[in-house]
Amino acid sequence: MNRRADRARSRPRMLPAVLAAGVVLAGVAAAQSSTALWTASAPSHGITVTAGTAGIEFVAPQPVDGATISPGASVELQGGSLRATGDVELELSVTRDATGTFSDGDVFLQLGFAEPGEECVPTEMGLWPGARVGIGRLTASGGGAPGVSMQVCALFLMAETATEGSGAAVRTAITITGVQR
Amino acid sequence: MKRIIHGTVAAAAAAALCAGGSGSMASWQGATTTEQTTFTMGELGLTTSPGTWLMDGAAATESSRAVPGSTLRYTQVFTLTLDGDGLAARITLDAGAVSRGDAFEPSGVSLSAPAVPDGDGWLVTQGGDMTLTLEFEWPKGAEIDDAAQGADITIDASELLVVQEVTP
Repeated sequence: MNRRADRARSRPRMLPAVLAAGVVLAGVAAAQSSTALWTASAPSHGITVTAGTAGIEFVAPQPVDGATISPGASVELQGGSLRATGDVELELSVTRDATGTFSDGDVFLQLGFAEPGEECVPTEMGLWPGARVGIGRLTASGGGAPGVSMQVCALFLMAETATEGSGAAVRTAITITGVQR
Repeated sequence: MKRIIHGTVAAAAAAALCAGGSGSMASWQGATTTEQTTFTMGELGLTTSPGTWLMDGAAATESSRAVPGSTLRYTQVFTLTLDGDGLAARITLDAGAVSRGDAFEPSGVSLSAPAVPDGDGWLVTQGGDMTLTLEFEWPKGAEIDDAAQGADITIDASELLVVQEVTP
């Protein structure tokens, strides 16, 4: 009976030792093995694109009947053109200016714009000088192809009541600005 | 008489001890083997087919010219192999850089079923064909920026990465 009691008492002492050995073995196993994980990948394809441009080719109209003008007379300017050279459709505006010896109300510059093949008629476009006036849209050429042209004509007028400018030169300036629509 | 009995018992005990010392202890054992089994490993893989770039709805070519307001759209079919019991994976996109960040901006990304959007990526629990769609937009605004006119704009390749999803 005493021996059995001794064995029974010794079991609890041995159990922690067995558990400890198990933990050590498990630890060794964990340290030696690796945790697997699968991965895969695949690429897409990049691209390089070239940005377009915005451009206008403007040929100013030239005097037809000479460049001398007197009060009450006018000089017609023709042969002007506008063409889009870029890749975007443009909203056009025009600014007219003039320098020379004259008084406000003495000289006028009328401008006209027309589709190719149509009659180009200059019309008074409002404020003068320096005012910017929208004149329409110019279709994009796209990919370097020739753009749609627009005729430009002008009429330079001197009022009958003009009292200044005799013998002086008047220089006009037409600026066309195109902004991407 | 009593002495004789004692002497006989002692002799029998001695004989038993002698027998134990010179004989062998018997022990039986049996063994069997399990059947050999071959397991085939699953597979996680991703393959691609050629992608397509469209600019403003038309195929992007060398003569295409991007302008403010243009959009680029890329589509590509990826074939996911997800073969394994209980195998799941997470897909993430490593997006390619844009050489001119002020030009094209990423405006959309999607991956079709069987991928299921989840946070920054997608979860997949089955394989199949998935269509990746990337969209880039060049915003058109009121601020004039002519510096980009005529420039080459490169969008680098992106990459889909699939990683096995580890559930706790």
